[in-house]
Amino acid sequence: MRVCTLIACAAASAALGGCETPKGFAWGQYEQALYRYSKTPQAREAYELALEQAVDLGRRQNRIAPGLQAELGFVRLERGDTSGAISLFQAEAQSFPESARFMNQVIRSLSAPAGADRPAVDPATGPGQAQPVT
Amino acid sequence: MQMKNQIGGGIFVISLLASGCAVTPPSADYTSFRAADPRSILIVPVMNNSVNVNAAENFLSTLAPPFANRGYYVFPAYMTRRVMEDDGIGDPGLVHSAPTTRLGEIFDCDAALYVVIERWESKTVIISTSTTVDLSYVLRSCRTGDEIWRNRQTLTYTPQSQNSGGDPLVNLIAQAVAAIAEKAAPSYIPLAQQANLQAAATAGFGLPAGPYSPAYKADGGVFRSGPVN
Repeated sequence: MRVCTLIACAAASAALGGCETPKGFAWGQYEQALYRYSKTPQAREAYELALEQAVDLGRRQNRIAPGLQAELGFVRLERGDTSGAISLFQAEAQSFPESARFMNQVIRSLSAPAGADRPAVDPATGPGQAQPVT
Repeated sequence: MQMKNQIGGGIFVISLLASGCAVTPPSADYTSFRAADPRSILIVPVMNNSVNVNAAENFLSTLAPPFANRGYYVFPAYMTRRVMEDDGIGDPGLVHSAPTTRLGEIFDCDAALYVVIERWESKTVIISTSTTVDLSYVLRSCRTGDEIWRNRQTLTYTPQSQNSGGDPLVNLIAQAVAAIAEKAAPSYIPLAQQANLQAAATAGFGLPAGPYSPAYKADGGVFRSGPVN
């Protein structure tokens, strides 16, 4: 019975790959903050702060989580800070080459003169149902 | 004590593997996954087949970390969803039936993760409340559109009050209070987090280690290619 418990315990931790990435990506409070933001639009500032802290921690410890710099850039874009957004999209592309084509496309559409092209990301577009409102 | 148990068990399992007497652990067939060799994953809008209208919205926040932690680049979940909405493919039913290669053109993703919420419910029967999440996961190649992995997780949680023996009426009341508390605030998110973790990381059935994991391409014995045993 005791041996069974030992095996189950070790198997559970091995099965969930717990030992593969000892430190792992720095997510900070991203998950909880996005969850609250998805329930109440008023939680956007807390979401932005959680992203800032996670990005900061990830940069300091060289374990920045995929997507978070872009998410932070998108929050900045939603509140009108286009240049802040662009530098974060550039940082995302640099940290993760997998995102480069998409990020560069977004940056190009933001840099295009107004009315020249339909932007890929348009914060003015009304959000769908149950969306956090900007 | 708990720690000691784990170490003891770990040594036991390692010696089992080393001595070669262990039976081959079960695994799905990863032939098509290995051929696609994805580096990046795009989470597409979650399809909600449950009766709970807010399920998909609240669930999105739990998806990226467990899959990224396997060693993949996961595209920014919230940003990409908004871009898909602007591109006219934000509707889950629409994007789930559209060709995956279209997403490859927009995002340059290697793979797209399609999650369907089959059930997301909390039911009270007499004085017991059970919360269930039932999720299906399919990964498709953004290059070919082919399915390269699938998984399904059904998890149920039923709170049990501390049965301290003694007065059966007291126990009955405690059980009823636990059921009411679960009914008022069902544990959907912890269940969904557990489901995602099991889907992504279970040996032989989750995602093999990706390029950001030290185990990348070194886990062919755990996630095997070939017929399912």
